Amino acid sequence: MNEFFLSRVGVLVAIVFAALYISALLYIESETMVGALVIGLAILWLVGNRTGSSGRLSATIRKNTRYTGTLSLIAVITVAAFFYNDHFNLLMLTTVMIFVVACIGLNIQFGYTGLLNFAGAAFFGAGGYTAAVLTSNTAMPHLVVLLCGGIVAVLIGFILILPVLRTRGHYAAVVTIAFSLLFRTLVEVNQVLGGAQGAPVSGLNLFGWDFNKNFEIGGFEVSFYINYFIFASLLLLISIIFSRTLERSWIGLNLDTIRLDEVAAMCFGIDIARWKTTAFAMGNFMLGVVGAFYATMLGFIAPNNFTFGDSLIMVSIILLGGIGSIPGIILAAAIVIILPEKLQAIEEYRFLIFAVGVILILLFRPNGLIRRRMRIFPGVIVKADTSV
Amino acid sequence: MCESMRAFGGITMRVIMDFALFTQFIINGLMQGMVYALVAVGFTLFFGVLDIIKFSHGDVLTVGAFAGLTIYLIVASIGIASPWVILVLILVFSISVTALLGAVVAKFLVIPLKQARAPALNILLITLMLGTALREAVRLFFPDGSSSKAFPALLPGGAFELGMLSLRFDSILLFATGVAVIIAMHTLITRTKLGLAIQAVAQDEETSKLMGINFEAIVLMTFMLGSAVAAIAGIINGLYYNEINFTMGLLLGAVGFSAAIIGGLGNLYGAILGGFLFAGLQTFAVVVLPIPIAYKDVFAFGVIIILIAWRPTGLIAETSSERV
Amino acid sequence: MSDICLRVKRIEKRFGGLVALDKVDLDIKKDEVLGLIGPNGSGKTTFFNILTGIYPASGGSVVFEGQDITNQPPQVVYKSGVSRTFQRSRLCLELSVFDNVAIGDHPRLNHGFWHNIINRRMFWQEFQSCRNRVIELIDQFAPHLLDKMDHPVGGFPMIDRRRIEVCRALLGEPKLLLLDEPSAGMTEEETRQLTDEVLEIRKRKSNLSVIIIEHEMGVISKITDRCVVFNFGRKICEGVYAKVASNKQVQKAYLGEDL
Repeated sequence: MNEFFLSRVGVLVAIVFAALYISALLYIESETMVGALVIGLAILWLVGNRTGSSGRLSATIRKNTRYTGTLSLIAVITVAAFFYNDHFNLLMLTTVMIFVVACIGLNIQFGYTGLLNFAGAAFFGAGGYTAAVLTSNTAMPHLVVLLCGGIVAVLIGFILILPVLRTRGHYAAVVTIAFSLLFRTLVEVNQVLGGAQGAPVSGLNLFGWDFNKNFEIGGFEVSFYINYFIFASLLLLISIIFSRTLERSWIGLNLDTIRLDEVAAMCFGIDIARWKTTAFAMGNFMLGVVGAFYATMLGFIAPNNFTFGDSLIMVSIILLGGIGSIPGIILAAAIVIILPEKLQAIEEYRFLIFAVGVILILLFRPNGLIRRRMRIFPGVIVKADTSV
Repeated sequence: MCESMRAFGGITMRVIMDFALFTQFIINGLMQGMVYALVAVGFTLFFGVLDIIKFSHGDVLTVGAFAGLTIYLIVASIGIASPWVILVLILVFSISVTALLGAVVAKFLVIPLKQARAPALNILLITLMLGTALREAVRLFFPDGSSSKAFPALLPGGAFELGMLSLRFDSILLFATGVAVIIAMHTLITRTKLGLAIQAVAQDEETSKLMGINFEAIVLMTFMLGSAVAAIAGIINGLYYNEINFTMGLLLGAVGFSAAIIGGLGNLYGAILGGFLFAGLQTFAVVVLPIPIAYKDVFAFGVIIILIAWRPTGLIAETSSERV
Repeated sequence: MSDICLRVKRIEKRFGGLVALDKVDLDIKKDEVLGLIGPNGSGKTTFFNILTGIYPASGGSVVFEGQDITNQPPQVVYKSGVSRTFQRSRLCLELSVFDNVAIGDHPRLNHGFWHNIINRRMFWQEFQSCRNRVIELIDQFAPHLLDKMDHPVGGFPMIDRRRIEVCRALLGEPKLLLLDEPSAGMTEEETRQLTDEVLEIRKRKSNLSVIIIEHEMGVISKITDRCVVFNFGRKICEGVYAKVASNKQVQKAYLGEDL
């Protein structure tokens, strides 16, 4: 009982610390201080791993998911309240969450199924451009527009999946790489989509609530980005729950088996083509929806937002975080998106730094910063004395 | 990438097109095909000896082209004026740089990974990221590297005039160089000891080791060879379009890779044919199809991908082809 | 006819110019344990790969329980009741013991979205029945793993992996079980245990035919009802073990290779 209590306090302390840390990181302007904070976290990380406290902490978190989830939610709301009128930091936090959702989608393809997709940014952009066209030219409800973003991404994915399935091994990579490189050309030449200059997207308006208006709560003028922040948190929550449920289902088992051994999967009745197509569609749907949402938040999108480099950044987030690991994705997305913004010194070098970082991770820590915990179905362990 | 193609963007050339323009497109396609073929050869060589896909290959080409430009700027500043001397210096220097780069990548990244039995996926991802790193390094560390750079026109100007047909000297020379490189490669692979050793390693790694072939040395040589050919491709590309930029290798890499797949990865002649096929499709799209010129890559990739889906092991059947 | 489980007729497989299987005929009766022996490269594993649909056959037919399964994809073959283990054990090393075995239940499980993601109550009900089947099998063949069901398979020795593979292959209640060199990579003692276990399978599961590829003649002599010998892709001999072992041609095939 005592230990139970202590471990819960540990989780509480960790979450409060994380909230304080991220707030401080965003709040501080001095680059030296930001650098110090980053180094501080790295040291804490190493100490945590060395002493085994990280392991204990993650074990407790896994045992108390609901408790941790509730606390995290409160922490997220608190951080949002702290930055209630700070456009820039709310935009950045929301962007991090959007990329986390995108990478959770990509992770279903890559992390679970082993299906390489180097066109994440292109599917994301397909959703964005769908939102641009639909919000500018139709009066479609915006919730439906977001869904359409996902559907368009899925449909494009269906065109690509056939060669992906037919191609042996990792040569399939060439299909998505080509699509990723060509997406820009496809958009640039198309005047309906705004060509090279880009296209405007209207702000989100759900059930009469205009997302692009600041509003007041009890005399405080609140940044309109709070709207996007809250909606992004919702999307994030849904996608985490979806991804975790998927993992702990027969579908998740099928996907993992296909990634680890296609021949064995086939020989035990798993239809490889069906599940690869399904995984590809699920991931692309998430990318498309969240891409559409991102576009409405930015208000304007251009072909430059969705390049091959951006697709590689998404893959890098998954590799840095730990293939298959959702906590890893969250941590890596925060690093990859926030750091270059805060440290102007590295902004210009970010692609180089991340590329080298990913190479080092793959060479020396292939499981990433936070390795994926494999699924354990409840009740499968039978104690010797109570065996059936 | 194809700046001179883009120059024709405003002209509508559908069914009726004047003959000079038509030949220009054909020549352009042949040149482009040569560059693709030379890139594809590298992919196929690496795959042959190590069964790996080295994705940074396209960016090695970029490094080669920029190395050539660097030596040109240095040489020009000390006052050597003879274009032939400069050309030789450019070739020697950029080939040395890429060959060294190829050897370093093989020695410190690819061979250790292969020996540690790292998953093929990791090697693909690592070389992909390495390509990004090279590309970014060129952009960041070459002075004003993010904008396109003029590449000197060192070959003699002028053209053969045969009635309506006009053949530029530089195009002929560049194409001849490409043909010479391919013939040299062919001779090297089929006639020399090194080439036979490369073939032996490609056939069967274990047996070749038993036969006393120094496996690592052969792999290093292969990587140097492939990278050197990439440098030549980069220089040809630069001399032809008189312009290079840091992203040039990205698309060339993707094209070269798909050309190598369509030719049956590991098959030298298939890769060359694949390169010309890709350029042929691009030219076809420009000359015949009523689509915007910018879509020529979309069309060519589309067809190539359909072909890959139709024949996953390449158009030339694997059993009858010579594995390099 | 009705007591025939599997009938293979003039099955052929060529890889380019190489003939891996040359018009092989084979019948298996219900409940029979058939040993498949022959020197390395004689086409035994290729034979399994064609039966299970991993390779398409170049000619011939395979009829299983009256149903033509020639060149059907592996998932269809599995659903019709043919299950196998692999020479080089093919488990998903990162996945737990439970997950690896549960894959064998694939055709029986509901893979719909509604069932798996939304209606979790039904999912857990189905899960319980799957869990019970898995535990029952593990309890029979590897009871010492019962309290390690959540451990990744990669951490277990070869013998345990083989047992897990056997459990996976039996979970779908196949009518024909193909065992590909179960003793590969095992000590003599482990091989003996394994032999007992195969005999155990026989005793417990009725209506199950087994084909076993094996180099250990001790295993073959002890558990098979009948043997078939392959050499260079051809069936060169067939009969009870004692008869096959004394056959001149068989001796030549083996000795010719060994010496």
